[in-house]
Amino acid sequence: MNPETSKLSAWHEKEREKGLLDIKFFTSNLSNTTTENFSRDVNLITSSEYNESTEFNDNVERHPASQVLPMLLKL
Amino acid sequence: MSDDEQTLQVRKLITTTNEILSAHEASSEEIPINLEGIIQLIEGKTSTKIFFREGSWSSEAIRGRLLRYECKAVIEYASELNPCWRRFVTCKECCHLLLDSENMYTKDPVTLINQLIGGQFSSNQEPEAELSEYMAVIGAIELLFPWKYRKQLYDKYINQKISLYKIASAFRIPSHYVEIAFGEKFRALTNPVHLELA
Repeated sequence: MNPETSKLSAWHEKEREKGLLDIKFFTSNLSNTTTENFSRDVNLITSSEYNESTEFNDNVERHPASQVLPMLLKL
Repeated sequence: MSDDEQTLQVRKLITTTNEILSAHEASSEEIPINLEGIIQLIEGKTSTKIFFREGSWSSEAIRGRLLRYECKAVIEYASELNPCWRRFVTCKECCHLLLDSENMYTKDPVTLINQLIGGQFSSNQEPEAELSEYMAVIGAIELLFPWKYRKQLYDKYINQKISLYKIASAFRIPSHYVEIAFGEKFRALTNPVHLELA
């Protein structure tokens, strides 16, 4: 197994011992990637700095549907 | 998966997302959909506390990741994502929490990666992984661009009176998923179930 893929497997095994049940990815462009490169990116995510919050930062402006929908339908 | 099995899965999914939307709409009916409210309902329904991590990483291949533990989950996304992508990535990962059964959990990430890259989902290695990805995307569309709005906007879109971009901007989701939602395959899969459940 290649180094980044091995590193990912080792991390996953450790995380399972800590109670990890499942892991999923939201992927985008996979046309030029390989298992080793993808694993490298996963390892990068694992080791990167991050801001953690219990609230999702959904910073978008919302309006009553009763206002927005008629506007869209009138276009 | 046979057509009957697929219909059964989609019926189960739409029943679940409809429950979430009904509970949500009792308190707010806004556009774009209030994802924070949806997340709170998913946390309650799955007894899972969700943590969000906005990371400084950048990847062409990965937009987000879900880590699921017994009573908590972590959703990670890149800080470079725009609000539309951040909302869709987060909602899709929340849908895994809401919809996946234990047999859909990833046992080996390397096998999953090989399947994602190679498009080998049709093999018999882990067919549940394909179903899980497929259903989570449908779930995210159902929650962020609900049928009751889709059905009102579809004719306008088909008659070229409104663009994908305008709709995507209003609902704050990537236009790619508005296109999927208005596509023949998605409509054929979901519309009969919505009509049956209406």
